[in-house]
Amino acid sequence: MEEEEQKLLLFKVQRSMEKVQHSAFFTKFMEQLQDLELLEILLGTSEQGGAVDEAGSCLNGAASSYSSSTGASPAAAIDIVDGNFLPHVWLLSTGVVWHAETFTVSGVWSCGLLVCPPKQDAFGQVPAAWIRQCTTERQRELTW
Amino acid sequence: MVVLGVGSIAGSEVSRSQIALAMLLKHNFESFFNKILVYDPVLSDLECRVLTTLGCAPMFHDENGSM
Repeated sequence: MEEEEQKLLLFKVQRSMEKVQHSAFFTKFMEQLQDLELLEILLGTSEQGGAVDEAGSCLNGAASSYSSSTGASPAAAIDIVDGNFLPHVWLLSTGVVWHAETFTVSGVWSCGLLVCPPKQDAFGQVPAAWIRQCTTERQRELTW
Repeated sequence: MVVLGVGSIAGSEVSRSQIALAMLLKHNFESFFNKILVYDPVLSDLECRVLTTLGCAPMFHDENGSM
């Protein structure tokens, strides 16, 4: 029985991969990432009710870790205030991005990627817009 | 790649989409991502086994983001 459940869940995840891969969102997302050269990504969602506090705890830890390792202010979680993306989806821009070439933690980037659910028509619009905004902000912060 | 708080991949299409995206990123940036670490206290044993089958590495303790 459990083996069947495992196969079913595996199938569901693989189907999700196909859906994401063939979405317009993914194409745009990949284009953005080619520019960002991200090495480390943290994803988070507050959707899971009871686990929110615990998950939030580990994510907040990431913020503290980022702050202490870089001396920068910890990046705050950003609520996406949008009709289609109310608090279910939020972004933690708390990780450390290492420059792909130097592999140094220069502390000049706060990492964050929004991962939004494939809801309604807006799937893909917010991430692309946010990443563009984030990229602009990061470029201002860059010191290398 | 570190995936924190992704939620229940068994119970949420959103969560499955997120982990799917993580795996696709790994596939497309193979030189950057040698593995996907996943932590969420809601993940069941079954979900962890599936994640392992998919090439992810579930974590069982809250590392407070210090990994």
